[in-house]
Amino acid sequence: MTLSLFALAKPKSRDAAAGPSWLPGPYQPAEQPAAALDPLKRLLQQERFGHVVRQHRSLGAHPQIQAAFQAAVEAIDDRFALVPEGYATLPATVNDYPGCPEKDVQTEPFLLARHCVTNRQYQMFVDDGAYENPHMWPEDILPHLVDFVDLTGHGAPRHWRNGRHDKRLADHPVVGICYYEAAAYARWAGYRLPTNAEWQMAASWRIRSAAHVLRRYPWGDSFDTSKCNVWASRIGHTVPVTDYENGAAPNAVLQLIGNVWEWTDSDYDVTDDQGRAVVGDMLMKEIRGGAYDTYFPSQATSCFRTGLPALARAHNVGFRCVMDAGDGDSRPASPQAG
Amino acid sequence: MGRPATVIGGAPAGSAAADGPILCDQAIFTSTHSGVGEGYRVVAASPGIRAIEKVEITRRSPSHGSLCGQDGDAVGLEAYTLPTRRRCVAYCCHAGCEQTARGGLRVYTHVAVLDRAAWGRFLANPVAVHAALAQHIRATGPVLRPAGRLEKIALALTPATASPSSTNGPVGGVHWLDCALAVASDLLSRRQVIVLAPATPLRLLEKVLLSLPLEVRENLDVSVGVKFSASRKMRLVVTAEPETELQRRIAGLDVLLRRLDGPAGQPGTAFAAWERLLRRWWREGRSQDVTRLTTELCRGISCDALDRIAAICEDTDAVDGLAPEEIRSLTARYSTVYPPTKAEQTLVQELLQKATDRLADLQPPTDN
Amino acid sequence: MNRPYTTQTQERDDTQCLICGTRNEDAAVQCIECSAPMALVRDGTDPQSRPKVVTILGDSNVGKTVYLGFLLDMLSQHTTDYQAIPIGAYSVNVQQNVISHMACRMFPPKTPMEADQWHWAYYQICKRTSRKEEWLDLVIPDIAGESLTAELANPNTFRVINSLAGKSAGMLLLLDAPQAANGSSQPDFFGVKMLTYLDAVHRADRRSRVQMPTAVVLCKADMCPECFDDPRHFTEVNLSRLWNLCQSRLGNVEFFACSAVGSLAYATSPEEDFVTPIPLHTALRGVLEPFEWVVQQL
Repeated sequence: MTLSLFALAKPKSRDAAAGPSWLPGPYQPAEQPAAALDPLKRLLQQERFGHVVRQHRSLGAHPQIQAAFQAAVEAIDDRFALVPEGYATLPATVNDYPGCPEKDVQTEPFLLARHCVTNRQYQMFVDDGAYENPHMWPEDILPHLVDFVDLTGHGAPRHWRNGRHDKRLADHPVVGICYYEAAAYARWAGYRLPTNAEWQMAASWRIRSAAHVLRRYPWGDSFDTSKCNVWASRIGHTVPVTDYENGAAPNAVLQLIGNVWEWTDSDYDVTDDQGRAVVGDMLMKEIRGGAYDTYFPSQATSCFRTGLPALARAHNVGFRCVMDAGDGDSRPASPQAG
Repeated sequence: MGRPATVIGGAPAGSAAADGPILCDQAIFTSTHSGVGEGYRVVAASPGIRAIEKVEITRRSPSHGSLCGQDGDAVGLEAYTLPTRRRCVAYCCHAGCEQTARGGLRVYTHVAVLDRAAWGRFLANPVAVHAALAQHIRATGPVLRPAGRLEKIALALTPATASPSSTNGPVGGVHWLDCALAVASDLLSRRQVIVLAPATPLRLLEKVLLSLPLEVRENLDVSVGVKFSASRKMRLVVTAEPETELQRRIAGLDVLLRRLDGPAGQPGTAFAAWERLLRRWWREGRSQDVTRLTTELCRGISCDALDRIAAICEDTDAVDGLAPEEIRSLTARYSTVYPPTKAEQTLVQELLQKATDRLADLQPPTDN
Repeated sequence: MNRPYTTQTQERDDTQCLICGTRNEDAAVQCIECSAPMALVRDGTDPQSRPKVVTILGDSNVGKTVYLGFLLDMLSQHTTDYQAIPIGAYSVNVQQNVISHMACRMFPPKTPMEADQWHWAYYQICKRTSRKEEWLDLVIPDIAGESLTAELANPNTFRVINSLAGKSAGMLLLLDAPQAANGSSQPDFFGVKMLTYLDAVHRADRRSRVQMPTAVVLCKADMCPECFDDPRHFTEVNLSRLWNLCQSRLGNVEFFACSAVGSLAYATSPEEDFVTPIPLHTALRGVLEPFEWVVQQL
């Protein structure tokens, strides 16, 4: 169904020649590959592996479902990593001082994407007509959909043009998307956003054991600009999501620290040292991990909590997806079973 | 000395000058946010405040972090002459958090602008004006959202406001009177003085000012409880800042730094007789005599006459303890001199009259 | 006569203030007229040439102190093309003040209006990528916005500002972008007043333009990111009076956007009638570019 009730404003005429300021040359729009006709193949082509695994029952009549399911499981196995059960201690105040009130949250095992969602991956979400499909969005967000446009007025992340990303940034994390866009993509792909406790567990690797081990960074406790992309690394922009392998967490998840902040599914709900509520102009969602322009190393750690208005489409905030560990355990029945 | 009782800092009780409130222009300098501006500025003023006066008020008033105390009870005083020759007295205090909430307290300055007549009714005593302003602000509270235009303020000149000494806490140290008199001498010598004092000693300031002839103190720019800033150009600053930092900032400036709780020093050569006289009179509780001397008698005289005046007063006080031959000798000496100033002439007449009365008292009664 | 608890100054040779030219005693720490630190003169690295003054101007609460503190800290870390070395320990005060507060999620306190409370930074700047090393001495004061506003309303209220304006070799004019985007004309009028004031100070006649390099910096652009897309266009649309004045009176002007705060929240309670702004995290963007542009013009 097209979004006729919320027809997008006439695209603004902008200079289509300029690319990102740090990339030389003009904007190079990514090509749009031909979409597979077969719906199951299209799901795989769109890398909606979580959707295939979780919705296989509704797809069970398809003759290729077993092969598709197997391919999806293998893809998830390749793109996601298991985070064991553990727990996260979340300070309840905006400044984490000794003795401040805090909350211990236990986390169940879950699957965490090894990389943030890239422009290439998000392009498939855009090309699937998500921005014109009101069923993709919560009802109370529909009036804001007209603001989810790119530099030329097309429904797309903020810094794109004509609904296309710059192909030179295909493997960079998608940015310029608000929390609702991130959540919508995750749902479309069959995943979800991590909670703040899950994210912190993955970055600090605080597994349940006799030793109370808590890592300040996924790779250990020492800040190291060669293992992450923050301000002190002197990069000044995002890098491909596959960079900084030496900064990986124990389960080979990359770039939990630096490059881009990551949306979580949790509200940013803290007080200040005097017990006053800390609020923003609107609902704030928690973001984690720091970004390429994070100046203070103390703000790019596994436990640093901060928030952003849920509708903010910042240049340095992306996201990664998670799956519950139990998803996809039941294989589809063979169509011939009878 | 046989004169009517005089309220310190106020007009003689029962005189017409003491009746009724004194109407003055007023202004408020503080930090607020409004549709037309933000931050420290003159946020409201009565219509009589001229633009050039607002500029001076802006230049002199304390801004963020400029009061000596950093708690909510800190209070400061400023008194200075405006370019229009009117006199400005400011009551400074803290009024809640600074409006941008970036830490620290908001400094609130309520200013009364007095013409010569009103200033005279307060006997050029800023402490009395400050007390009257304090009374007003205690009644109404700091006006943080004023209408752009204020009406004139009515300052009450009552014994309570005219005797502010009773409203102050004790001043630290035992030699503060010596310090006050030394400061007065410094001011008579046209020096700029900073006094380091642990608390807000309005009483110290009052002692200093009332030890000065009226014409010296009525144009003296002073501050109490406000941190020193060279740009405020105050002749006398009573402050409670850390001494090391203050020493650094005044290095190279022609400023005398005194400590209230420092050791008592030897009296200086300049105005030594004046200091001695006033020290004795203050300690004997003769504040009315001090006020009459500085406010009424010492009009139109230059500072170099003060020691001579002090000598006459000392001799006058000594009459009661002299033998008749000594009194006659004193009388003979003063009868042959012609004092150059009206104040000295008046005092010599009073001395001669007192000597005559004393001799009459000492005359043995005759039997008829 | 020695008074045991007094200090006295003695007459010595005098030194001319770098900013206003007033003669001060050699022992003076601050200029008696404008309160500029006399160390600016004593610390001069080249007796034959005086340091250049770059002024950062802006209305109260626009973010001058935060901007200057981060700028100096970034330059000091030598992670950019420019290398900066502080001259005198006092030069580090403003960046220390800003960094220590922002790292703890607090804004630094208000800059007092009294000129003797201002922080002054004296730095040697060098562009590392140039083949020939050229060092430049720069003095940058952190001025209170209210003092600027008062000076604009009535010139010579704070003569140090008049002296600074006349001595400046370059200027960064900071404006509140979100305020302008919300429809307030206050940033626009402030900018116009500031440029008109500078015009008068430099006494440019109507046929010529003020050639002092002027960077118009749209601050707090994290709250209206369209500033980064096209600062010129944003200025033209939202600060039209300033834009027109720049076109007619400035011969060397450029437009920039910058932000230091990544996300801003507020601590609030029903019992209080004010909110405390809290910078949740930093995201420095566009801080160096305006300064680098001005330095290149010097």
